[in-house]
Amino acid sequence: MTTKEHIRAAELSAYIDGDIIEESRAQKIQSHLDDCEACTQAAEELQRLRGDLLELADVEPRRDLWPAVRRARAQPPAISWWRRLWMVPAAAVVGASAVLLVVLVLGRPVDDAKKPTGPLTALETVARAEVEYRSAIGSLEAAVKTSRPQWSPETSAVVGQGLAQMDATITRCRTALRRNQTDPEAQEALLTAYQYKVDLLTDLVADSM
Amino acid sequence: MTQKHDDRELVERSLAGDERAMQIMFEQHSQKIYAMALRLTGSTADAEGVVQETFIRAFKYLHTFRGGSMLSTWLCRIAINRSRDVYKRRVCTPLEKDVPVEPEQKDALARACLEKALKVLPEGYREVLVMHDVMGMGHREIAEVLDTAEGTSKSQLHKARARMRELLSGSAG
Repeated sequence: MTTKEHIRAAELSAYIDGDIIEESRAQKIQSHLDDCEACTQAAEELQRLRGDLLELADVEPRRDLWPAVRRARAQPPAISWWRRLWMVPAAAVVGASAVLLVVLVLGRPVDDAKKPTGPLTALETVARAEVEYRSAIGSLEAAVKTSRPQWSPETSAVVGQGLAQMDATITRCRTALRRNQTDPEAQEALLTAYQYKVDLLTDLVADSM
Repeated sequence: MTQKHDDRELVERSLAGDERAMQIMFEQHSQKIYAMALRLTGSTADAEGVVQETFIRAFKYLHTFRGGSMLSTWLCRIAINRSRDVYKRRVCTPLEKDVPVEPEQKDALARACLEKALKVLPEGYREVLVMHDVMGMGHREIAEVLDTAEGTSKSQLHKARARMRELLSGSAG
């Protein structure tokens, strides 16, 4: 390298970082810099740029970010209600399956081994759970109603549609259960349909907070 | 004086559900993540969001951290990915136009020009430049974060600096 042959920019960049490992090469670069004004100026510019960029690291957030991280961690995994809506068709499938099962069950004699040992107790359990679900749904719907005005018309429409589908599923499951009150599958389907609605409403309330 | 806690111990305690350990981990690493995210996204609000998302994700997936790399490297990798999500969102919602800078001092003008140049630097250049020259990370660590070769990191850094010099000489005129 002569004074006329300037240091390649990539090499100069590596040199100012101390990344030229070969000592003889580093010495040649330094000796060139001693004689070449253009390369010295380029090296100085690079060093100034490095110094200026380093100062950009000295920044702090405007507010304490930990509380939000802690809160997010403390909450159960927030499933967006948008994602939750895929469960609506799933609930419908559960409901339809329950209806199908009832039809199939009614069409053949009940296997003695599958007969519920205490149908009255099972029905009572379902009835009690239904009361609790309805109470929870009532409270959640009241909470959702207060946040509904903040939603866009599109959001309100999608949510309304989702809830209506869930109500229809619940109705179908209840009808199926009335037709065969001892069918454990129908009982399960009804309670699952209620649970989907509670989950969706819970997400809606959480999202609006 | 703030006591520096061992990352390995913090990870183990956090995995056991110790919230104090998580907070210490956050305090030890969040400033660095914020500075990096701010220079990558160019927006304080986005940078704050990146910090929060980084740590929420880090605590959720802490069980996958094997200790093969430093905790800071692992966190940087998450933060880079979250910052990239911000760039992607910007495809639809570009950065707001810069407010005209009328600094009273020359230093402030230089800093404003530097920040502006950084914002328009191509994404790949900006990531390497920020990690190396702003955060002081070495090429090996950068290569680990970006899942690339050290040589690529060096080459990107050189190109990023050259581009910055062009941009800054343009803005000076």
